[in-house]
Amino acid sequence: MAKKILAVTGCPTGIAHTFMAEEALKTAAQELGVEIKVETNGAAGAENVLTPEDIRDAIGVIVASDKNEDTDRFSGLPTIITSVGDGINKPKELIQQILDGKVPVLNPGKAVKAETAAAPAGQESLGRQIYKHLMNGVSHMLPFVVAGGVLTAVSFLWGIYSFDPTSEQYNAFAAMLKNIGGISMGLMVPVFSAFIGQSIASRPGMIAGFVGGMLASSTGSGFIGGILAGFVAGYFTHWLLGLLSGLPKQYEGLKSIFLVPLVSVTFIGIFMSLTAGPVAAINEAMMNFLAGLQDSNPLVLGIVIGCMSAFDMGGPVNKAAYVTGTMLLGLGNDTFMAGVSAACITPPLVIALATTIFPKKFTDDERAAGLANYVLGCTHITEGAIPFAAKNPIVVLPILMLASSISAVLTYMMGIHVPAPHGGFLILPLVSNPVMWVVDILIGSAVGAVIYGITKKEEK
Amino acid sequence: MAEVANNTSLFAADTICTDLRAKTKDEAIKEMVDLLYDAGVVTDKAVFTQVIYDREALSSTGMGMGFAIPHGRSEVVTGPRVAVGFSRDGLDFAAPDGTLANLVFMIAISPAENNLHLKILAALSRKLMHQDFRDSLLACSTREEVLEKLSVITA
Repeated sequence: MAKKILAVTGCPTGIAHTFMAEEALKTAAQELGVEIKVETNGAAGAENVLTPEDIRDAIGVIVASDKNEDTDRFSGLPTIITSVGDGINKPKELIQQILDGKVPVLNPGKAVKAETAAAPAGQESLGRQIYKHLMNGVSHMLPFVVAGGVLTAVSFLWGIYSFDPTSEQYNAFAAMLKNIGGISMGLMVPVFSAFIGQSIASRPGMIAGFVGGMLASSTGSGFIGGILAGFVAGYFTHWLLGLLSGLPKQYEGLKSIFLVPLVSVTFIGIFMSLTAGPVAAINEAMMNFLAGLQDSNPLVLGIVIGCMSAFDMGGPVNKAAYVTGTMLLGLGNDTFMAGVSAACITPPLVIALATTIFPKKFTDDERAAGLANYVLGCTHITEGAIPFAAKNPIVVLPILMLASSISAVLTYMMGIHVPAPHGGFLILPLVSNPVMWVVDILIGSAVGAVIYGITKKEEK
Repeated sequence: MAEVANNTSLFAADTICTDLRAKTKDEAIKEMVDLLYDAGVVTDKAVFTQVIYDREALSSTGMGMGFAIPHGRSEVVTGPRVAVGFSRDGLDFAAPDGTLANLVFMIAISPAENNLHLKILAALSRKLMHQDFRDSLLACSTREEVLEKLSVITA
């Protein structure tokens, strides 16, 4: 029987790359004399889906995809997980790696064959995996933070003490909003941990991650505890699933609804309880360090935050700054977020101001997009600047980073408080010194706009 | 515009250019968006251009092997269309293999796209992986020839 290799291809938009990789892999397989079956996860849904029989008969699997694919089904098979680009550009190498037996087995718990050493070139690096897990947590957490933060912020419109029945500002509706907002914000760390765990070990990992996150949240180990809970829960559950995979089939139900949750939750629970003290101390030390940096060295902090926020505008580096600000906000530090918000609001305003000050340097379309950037900037949507930056990133990004840094540094120097994690200028009524905050942001934006306008080539 | 309604072809003579004036990626995107706009496929240049750049910001659509497929899905697209542009000198789409793109396919689809068109796009993508197909396209000097070469692509 011919050697049969399986492959899965996919990409986020799913209208072209998926099928290019499919064709490239098929052509390469033909040249190498191997049988291949390729499942395509394109925009029209999965086609040519791999069956359990296919998987049973295969000698190896290539997953060439830029979105999350279900890989658990390949447990026990040598599996390469790589980008769709590798599938298109080096299909032969990927197939050759499988043929040469150089590919490690996925989830070796189920495997009989020994693992091989050196990871092949296409293997997903550890750093990328960790990043992917972390971002899975972040993306599920953010909606909770935004809803919670904004509701809390809105309740302050009735007065900072409107939730307190003993205060004369008391308003029942405001108190209700603040309560709802607080609950939503409170789920931040648990949801974060749960979905880190889910990214590592699917649903069983989510269960342990959720409980671990609740413990992190209730024992004051906060953000750091949440990261720890998510990863420990995920990897422990992953290991546990491997360990139990040798169990006979008839115990499958018992395993998934009883054994795995019980053991993984017990483990993460004890682990988090025992580490709560030290982790809470680290968490507090970090908070104090950042708060200290705000007071003693606003310049350094502002530059770091400014550069991070403008570097990839809504991408992972920007999100790292944003998430840190949000977490600190959840823990009661509302000055850190002020700088992050200022830095995030600045890039679109740089673009908008530049199109207004230097109209001749921009096309009609760009001026229209510039107007939109006023709105995007005022509502804290950094992504508005992307199309402009994408045209000439090497020049534009440093300008935006400089502008954001100026805004953030000024904000920190004035010790401005911003109590909501999103909303841009819509939350101005909640800002401790709204006029100066806007001025800080406008100074940074204006400096950036002038430099951008001067350096920009005229477009016709 | 009426031609699009026949629902089988994603290509039309008025959105094929066998000799782009563009010398850079930006110019090529602008030129091809103009083609789509003039053909009535795209109703708002600014919005569609933004969508295209948003996609490019994720990762360049210069796929290597001498072609690029900038693409966008937007409300401002009236009907699915693939604009085709040839650049004799090649355009730098930051392809992973360092080649310049001689073939640019700009894909415009609306959010409510039907499966048939997605299948045709898939078929086009598969075809493009073959050197002889790419060469046969570039050998065309008129829009009609290009259209004929592309007509073999069906779902």
